[in-house]
Amino acid sequence: MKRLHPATIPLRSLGRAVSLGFVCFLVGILLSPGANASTVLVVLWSALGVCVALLYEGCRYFRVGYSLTPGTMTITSGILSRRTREIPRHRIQSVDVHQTPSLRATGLASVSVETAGGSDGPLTLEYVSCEEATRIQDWQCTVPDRQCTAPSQGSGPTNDTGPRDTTIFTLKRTELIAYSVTSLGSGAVLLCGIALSFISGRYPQGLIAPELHQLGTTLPENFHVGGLAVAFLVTAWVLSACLHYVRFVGFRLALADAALSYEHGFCGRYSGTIRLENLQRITIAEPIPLRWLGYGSLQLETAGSDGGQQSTETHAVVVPFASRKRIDALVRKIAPIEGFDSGSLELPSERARTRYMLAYLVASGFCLLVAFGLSVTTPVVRDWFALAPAVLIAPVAAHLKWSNRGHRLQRNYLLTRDGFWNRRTRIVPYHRIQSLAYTQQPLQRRHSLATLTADTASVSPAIATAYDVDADRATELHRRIERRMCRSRRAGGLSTT
Amino acid sequence: MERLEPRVRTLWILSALGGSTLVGVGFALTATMLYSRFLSADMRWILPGTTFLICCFAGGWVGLAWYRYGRFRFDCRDESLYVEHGVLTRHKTVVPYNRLQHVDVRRRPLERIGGVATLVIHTAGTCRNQVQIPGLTPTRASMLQDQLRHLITEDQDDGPP
Repeated sequence: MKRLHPATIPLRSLGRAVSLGFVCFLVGILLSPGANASTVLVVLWSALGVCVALLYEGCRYFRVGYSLTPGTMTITSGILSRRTREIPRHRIQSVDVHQTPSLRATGLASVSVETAGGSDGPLTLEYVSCEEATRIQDWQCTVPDRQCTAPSQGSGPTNDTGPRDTTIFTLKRTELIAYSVTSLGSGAVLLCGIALSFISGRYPQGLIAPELHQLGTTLPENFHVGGLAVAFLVTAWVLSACLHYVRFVGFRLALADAALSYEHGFCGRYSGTIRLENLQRITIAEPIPLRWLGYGSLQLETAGSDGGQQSTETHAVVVPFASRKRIDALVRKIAPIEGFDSGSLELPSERARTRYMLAYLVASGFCLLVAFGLSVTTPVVRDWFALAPAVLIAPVAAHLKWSNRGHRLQRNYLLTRDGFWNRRTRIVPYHRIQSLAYTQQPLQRRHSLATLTADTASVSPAIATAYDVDADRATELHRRIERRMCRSRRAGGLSTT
Repeated sequence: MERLEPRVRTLWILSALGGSTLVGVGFALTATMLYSRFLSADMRWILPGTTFLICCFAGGWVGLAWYRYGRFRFDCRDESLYVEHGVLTRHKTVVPYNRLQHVDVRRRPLERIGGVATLVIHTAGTCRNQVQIPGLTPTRASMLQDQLRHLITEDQDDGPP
C-alpha cells in the first residue's frame, strides 16, 4: 500500500490552517474584551487553529494509501471510519492531474480518478509526486508499459516506446484572450466584493492598522455609489479575465492510442487523460453573441463527469473557446462522423413552429390581459399596453426557437440540437445510449408530433433530445435507433476492455 | 404485446377514490374556513359547490386510472424491452437487454394487499434510468426477473456502461 507523498502533511495543513486559523482569528476578535482586538487572545486562537490542522493532517497521512495492480486500483481512506475502494482499471473514466502554483513549486500534484458509479464525486489523491501522477495516468491507459501521456516540460529521457501522440488542437492566443474577456468568473466577483467592502469603509475597525484607516477616509466625498459600482464591475471583469487567461494558457489536446490527453494552465497546471471509448457525450455550446461571430465551446463528457453545469471544473475535457470550423475539425478527429456539419441537421416539423407561435401568443396575450385587469382594478399598473410588443415578438421568437432545434442520425452517432440563447449540439454514440423514449404530450398528439429522448450515463441530466419531430418519422427514427443501439454492442463496438 | 393484471386496475381505481376523498375532505374544510371568514352570507352554496368540484376531480382521477391500465403495454422483444404507457403524455420506451444494469421486484404495502408487484428495471442513465412495469403477479414478476437476468448475463461482456 503506497502512501501519499510526505510533503502532503505540511501542504495540506497549510491550506487547512489558513482557513481554520482565519476562523479562529475571527473568533478571537469577537471574544476579546472591549472594542480593540486583544493581541494575545487572537494569537492564541490562531495558533490553536494551526495546531489542530497539523494534527489532523498528520493523522490523515498515515491512514490514506493506495495500490495499483494490473487490473485494479485500491484506495484506502478515512481516519475513524475506514473505507477501502477497489476500482477495476477499465471502469475508470478519466484521470485528471491538477497542480496549483504551490504544488508545482514543490513538485507534487493532485490526482482525481473518476468512475461512473460514485455519488461522492471523483476520488482524489492529494498529493503525490509528479512522477507518480504520470505513472497512474499511464497505468490507466489501455496497454501497460506504453506511455499515453505527453511529456510535459521535459520529464526526463523517454525510452524506446516513447509516447506517440499527435497534437490535435491548441488554443490560439486570440481565442484565449477572447474567451477570457467574454466570461465572468464567480471567484473574481467575490474577491472584488471583499475589496470593495474595504474601500468603502465598511470594514471591522479592529482588523486594520490606524494608518490605513486614515487613508480610507481621505477619498473624495463625491465618490458616489454609481462610480463605485462601475469601478467594481470593471475590476471584477479584468480580474476574472486574468484568471481565465492564466488558467487556460498553453491549452493542448493530444491523441495517442485512442486516449485523449489535455493540459493547460500557467500557475496552476491541469492535465488529464480519458480513453475515447469512455466518451459518453460531446456537446458543442454556442452562446448567443459568440454564435453570430462564429465561435463556440466544446465539452467532452465521460460517465463520471457532471455535465449539467457550464463551469469548466466539472467536465472531463473542455475546449473553452474556438471558431466553429476548428471545433468541427476537432470533432471529426475524435469521433469519426461522416459529413459532420452543423448546418446539416434535420429541423423539427413545420407544425411545431405553429405550435410554438400559438403558445407564445397565448402567453403574451394572457400577460396583456392580466396587466389590463391590474390597470383597471388597482393603481399598480398604468401603461398596460407597454407589453403589446411581446405579442409582435411572439412569431419571431417561435421561428428562432424552431430553427435552432434539429436532429440527425449518422452511422454511429445521434446528433441533436436545441436552444436559442445558448445553442447546444449534442453528439451521442449509439452504444452509449442507455434507453430511448418516445414521448407525446397532449398538444403534441393533436399536431401529431413527438419528442425522442436518448439517455446517457453521465452524472447529471445527460440526455439528447430531438424535439417535435413528426410522429410517423419519430416512430421510424425510434425503430432505427433501437436497431443501431442493439447492433452496435453485439458487433463488439468500441467497448472492449 | 403483454398487458398488466386486471386486478391492478381495481387497485388503482380504489386508490384514486381514496385519494380524492382525502383531497375532498381537505378542500371542503379549507373552503368552509375561508368562506366563514370572508363571506358570512351564502353558506348554502358551499356544500353543493364543493361536492360538485370534488366529484369532478374524483371522476377525473378514476378515469385516468382506468385508462392508464388500458394504455399499459410491454413486450420482451428479441434484443430489447419495449414499454408503452401514459394517458395524457404517452411514453414509449425501449431498453436493449445489454443496457440493463439490474432488475428489481418491488412490492409496496398497497400492492401486497392487492397481490401485485412492480418490476423495476435499472439502466445506467440519468433522468429516465428506471423503467417500471407495475401490476404483475408476483410469480410473473419473478419469472420476468429471471428471464431478464439471463439475458443480461449472456449478452453483456465486462465492458464499461
